[in-house]
Amino acid sequence: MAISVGLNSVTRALLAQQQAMDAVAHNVSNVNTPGYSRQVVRLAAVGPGDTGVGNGVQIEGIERIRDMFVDFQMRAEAHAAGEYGARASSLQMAELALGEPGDTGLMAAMDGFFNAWRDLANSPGESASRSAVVQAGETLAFSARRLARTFTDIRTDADTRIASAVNEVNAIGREVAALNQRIIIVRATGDPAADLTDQRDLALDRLSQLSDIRVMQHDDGHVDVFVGGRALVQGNRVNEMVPVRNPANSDYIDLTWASDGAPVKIASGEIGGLLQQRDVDLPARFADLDTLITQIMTDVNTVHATGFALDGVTTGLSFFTGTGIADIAVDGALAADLRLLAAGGAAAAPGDGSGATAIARLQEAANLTAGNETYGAFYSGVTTRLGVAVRDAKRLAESQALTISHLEQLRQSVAGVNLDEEMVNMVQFQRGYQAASQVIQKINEMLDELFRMV
Amino acid sequence: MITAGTDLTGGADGLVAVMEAQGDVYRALLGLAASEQGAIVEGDVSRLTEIVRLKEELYDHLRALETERMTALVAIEAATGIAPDRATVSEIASQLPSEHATTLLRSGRELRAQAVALEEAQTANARLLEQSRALVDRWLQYLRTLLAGSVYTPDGVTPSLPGGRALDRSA
Repeated sequence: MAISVGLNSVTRALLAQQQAMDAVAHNVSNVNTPGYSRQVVRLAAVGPGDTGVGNGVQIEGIERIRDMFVDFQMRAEAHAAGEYGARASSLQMAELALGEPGDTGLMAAMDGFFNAWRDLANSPGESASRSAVVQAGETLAFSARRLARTFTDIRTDADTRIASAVNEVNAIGREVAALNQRIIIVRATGDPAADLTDQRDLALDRLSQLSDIRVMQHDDGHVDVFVGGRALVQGNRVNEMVPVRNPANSDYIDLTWASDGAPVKIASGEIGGLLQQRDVDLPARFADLDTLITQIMTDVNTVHATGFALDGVTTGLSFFTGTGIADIAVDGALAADLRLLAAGGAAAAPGDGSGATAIARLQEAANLTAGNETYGAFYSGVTTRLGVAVRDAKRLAESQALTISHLEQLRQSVAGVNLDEEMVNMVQFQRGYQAASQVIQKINEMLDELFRMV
Repeated sequence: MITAGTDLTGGADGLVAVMEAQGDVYRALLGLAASEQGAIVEGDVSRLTEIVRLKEELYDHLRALETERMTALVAIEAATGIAPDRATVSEIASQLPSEHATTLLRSGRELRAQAVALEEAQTANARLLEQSRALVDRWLQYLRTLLAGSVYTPDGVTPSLPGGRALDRSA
C-alpha cells in the first residue's frame, strides 16, 4: 500500500468517523425531543483504485432509525385510543349526572314522590301531606329537568370538543403539507431530511389520535393523508374540514370538506368517539330517560285526572305539565291551591284517599317495556347499562393506553436515544480501542527489532 | 530447528526459513489490519475485539519465530563472529556463497516489504484508534455529566431520563 493511498484512506475514514460521532452528538442533544428518531451514519467501502488497494470508507448517507410497521400499528391503535378515551369521558360525565346510587338521584326523587302520595292516602285532608306531594313532585320534576340539562350540556361539550379537534386537524393538515414541501426540497439535495420527517411523524401521530387516518408514503418523501376515503393532505395542498351548524341536530356542527361541501366521514379517533357520543350514545340514553319521565307524567296525569279534589267537585286535572323530561313541572294551579290535589276517588268521597293510593300504586305497576318493567326497574336498567358502558369504555381506553404504551416502548427501543446505552457503547468502544492500540504497539516493537536486521 | 553446531550455510538456510515464516505471519497481520480499519471506522467493537484476539495469536506465533530467528543468528555467529543483536541480512549475505546470499537477500527484501506495509497499516490504524479514543473520551465525559445531572436534583428526586430504558442506580 502506497503511503499516499494509506493516508487518503485514513483521512476519509477519520472524516467518516467524525460524522458518525456527530450523529451521536445529534442523538444525545435530542434525547428530550418528542418524536425524535435516532440517526446513524451509513458507511460504505470505497472501491479499490488503480493500485488495487481498498480506499477505506466514506459516508453513504444518514439513516433515520424508524420502524414503519410500528408507526402504522401505533396510528391504528391511537385512533381507537382516542375514540375510547372520548367515549369514556362523555359516558362518565353522564354517569356522574345520574348520581346513582345516591340521595340526589332520580331514583330517590321517584321514591320520594310516590311515598308522598302514599302518605297523602293515609291523611288526604292534611295540608302538610298535600304540600309534601307537591314538593316531592317538584323535586322529581327538578331532578328530571336537571338530568335533561346535564345531558344537553354533555352533548354541547362534545360538540365544542369536536369543533376544537377539527381546528386542530386542520392545523395539523397545514403543518403536514408545509413539511411535505420542505422535505421534498431538502431530499432533492441528497439530505434525508430526518428531523423534518420526525416532526411530520409527530404531527401524524397526533392526527391519528384525533381521527382514523390513512397515510400514503411517496418516493420523493411526501405523504398524503386520507380521512374517510378523502384526502386531507395531498402533497403541499390541504383540503380542510369545515364545521357547519345543523339546525336539525340541535344546531350542533356537521363536518364537511372545504373543497366541495361533502360530509366528512370519521368513524374513529377522538372526533369519531365524540360524534358517536353526541349523536348516538347520549341521545339514546337521554331518550330512555325521557321515556321514563314521559310515562310517569302520562300515568300520573291519567290517574290524577280521574280523581277528585278536596271540594268533591273538581276533577280532570293534570298533576304534571310539559312534554317530557326537558320541561316537566308540577301544574302551577296545584302548587297554588293544595286542595286541588285529586286524592279522592269519587265525588262523594273526596277525602277517602283512594285517588292518592291509585297514584302511589303506579310505582309497582309494570307500565314500561311493553308491560314488563316498573319505573324503578326500567330506570335501574338505564343506570346499569350506562354503568356497564362506562366500565367497558374505561376498560377499552385503559387497554388501548397500555397497547399504545407498549408500542411506544417498541418504537423507543428502535428509534429512541438512550443515554445509558450510548454510555455503555462508548465504554465498550473505549476498551476495544485500548486493546487494539496495545496489540499494535507490541507488533510495532517487534517490527522495529526486525528492521534492525532487514 | 537450527543449533549452535550448524555450519554457516545451514544457519543461513534456517534464517531464510524463519524469515519466510515471519513473512507469512506479517501477510496475515496485514490482512487483519485492513479488517481492523473497517471495524474501527464502523465502530464495530465486537469485530474489532475478534480481530485483536486473532492478532494476539499471531503475535504469540511471531514471538516463537523470533526465538527461532535468534537461534539461527547464534548459529551464524558461531561461524562468522557476527553478534546476533547487530547482525544484518546484507552483512550475513556478504559472507555466504553467492547462491545462498541471493536467497537470503531476496527473503530479506520480501520480509522488509511486508513489514513496511504492515507498519504503514498499523500506523494508520493507530491514528484512527487515537482519534476514536479521543472522541469517545470526550463523549464519555459529556454523557457522564448528563447522567450525573439526572441522578440528583436540588429537591432530591431522581427522575429517570427519557428516551427508553435506564440503568437502575438504586443499589
